[in-house]
Amino acid sequence: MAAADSCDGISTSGGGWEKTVTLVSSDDARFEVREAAASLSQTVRRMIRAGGDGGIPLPKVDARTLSTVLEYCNKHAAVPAPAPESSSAEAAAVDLEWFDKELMHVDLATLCSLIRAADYLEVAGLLDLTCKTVADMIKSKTAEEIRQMFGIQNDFTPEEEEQLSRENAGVFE
Amino acid sequence: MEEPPALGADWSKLPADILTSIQGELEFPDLFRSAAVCHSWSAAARSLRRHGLYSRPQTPCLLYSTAAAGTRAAELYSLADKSSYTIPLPDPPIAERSIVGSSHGWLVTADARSELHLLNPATVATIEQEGEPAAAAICGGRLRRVLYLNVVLSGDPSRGDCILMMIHNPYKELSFARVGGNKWHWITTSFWESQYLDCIYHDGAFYAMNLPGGIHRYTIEGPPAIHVARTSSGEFLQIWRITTDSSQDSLETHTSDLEIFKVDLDKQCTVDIDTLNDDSLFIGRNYSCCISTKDYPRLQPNHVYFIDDDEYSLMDEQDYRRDVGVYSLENRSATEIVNPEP
Repeated sequence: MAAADSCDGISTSGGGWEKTVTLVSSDDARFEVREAAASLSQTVRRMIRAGGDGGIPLPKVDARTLSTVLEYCNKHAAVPAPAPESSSAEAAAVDLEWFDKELMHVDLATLCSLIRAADYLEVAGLLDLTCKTVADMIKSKTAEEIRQMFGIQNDFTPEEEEQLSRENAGVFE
Repeated sequence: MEEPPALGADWSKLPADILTSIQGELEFPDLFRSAAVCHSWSAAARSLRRHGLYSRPQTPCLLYSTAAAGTRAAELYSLADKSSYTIPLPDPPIAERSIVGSSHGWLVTADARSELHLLNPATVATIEQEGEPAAAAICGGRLRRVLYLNVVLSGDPSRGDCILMMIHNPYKELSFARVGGNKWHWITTSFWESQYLDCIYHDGAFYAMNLPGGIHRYTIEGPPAIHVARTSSGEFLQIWRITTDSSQDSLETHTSDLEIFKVDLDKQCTVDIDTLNDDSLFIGRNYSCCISTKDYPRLQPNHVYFIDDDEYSLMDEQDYRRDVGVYSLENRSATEIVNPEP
């Protein structure tokens, strides 16, 4: 089946005719997205190639998470590649950095859903951004503080815990 | 059929590869602490390190042996969080080796038999460096213990080819080798010119400083081809031909630069020159010579005509493009003359 079969509409945004695709979240919300933006997700890109009718189902991502992922994709796909080292390239990079920073101002549950969605949808840039955000939150915290922050159960026995503190958390086992 | 549930927001159920990506962003002390959170975080940190994926730049650490840590572990003092950690290291025992260099996250160590081992304490990757500089081989007895004075790497060996530059005894000379290779190249200079004390690497060149404070710049790109020729006015030239490989697997080379030195036979030294004046120079498998364009006005003055001279590419790679061209010393660039079909 041809790739165009999964394209539900044509829009005129950006002054030109652009192909769009429809993505369907786990809770049946439909998102019409430019194909260029949706293709930042390798998972979606493969599904576009495979073709299909009535939109691309993404049963593992809910509407709220998907809308944030698409916000990221729309912004990052909109940036054309200007000549490197030009002043406009620098401005675009600063703008993107600011956008990314703002996008990461979310609660922990949302952040967790975003990481998993970025991983499942294979949006490399977003996965990198979310992982770096979490790493920044972990920095300079003790294991107990990390557990409390993320609501993780300590599943070590007291003996294991003593062993861990002796051997730098078993990293070198 | 029941729909699979949407991906949840449970932090303890993050897949291992995501945890590994997160921990890969952490410095050593944070990595240790995050590994103590729970079993799955601990396993992720272990696999991160075991698979050599942990190559994050670190705030400099001080590494030293202590009796308490034993012979097979070292103490790592982190300047980032001002505390020390004991890290086990692979054999030969670290306490029995001397550390002769540290760059790009790698330690260069020498064991009791003066054999070099490169070690990355973060990933515990190791590289054996075979052979030793010919000049160092003459050292015996107590001098062997202070054979190697300083070793500098041109890059991170886990990210590709790099060069190891060493200051060694008996006369604090320089020798270099490819990391993982077994051939050492001795950079011969006179006794007074050597006596090197320190060396750094920057942007394609080693800068070595000698006892009087002179700084010598050495560039090493691929095995250098070197020629000797005489100018039409009778001066001796030493010509270094710098080639770059077009790809890692191919032996096909391109002449990227030529460095020409005038040899002062009286003072026993070489002087960098940037012009051949009216001469054109021919190098390759032929008799290396300078020809005056006054006698042969159709040749280009201040140009070097070159053909392949790398023995391996001539022997093995019969099907490749021949490196034949003319190099302008004015523009510092080479152009092709002909491209004979292989």
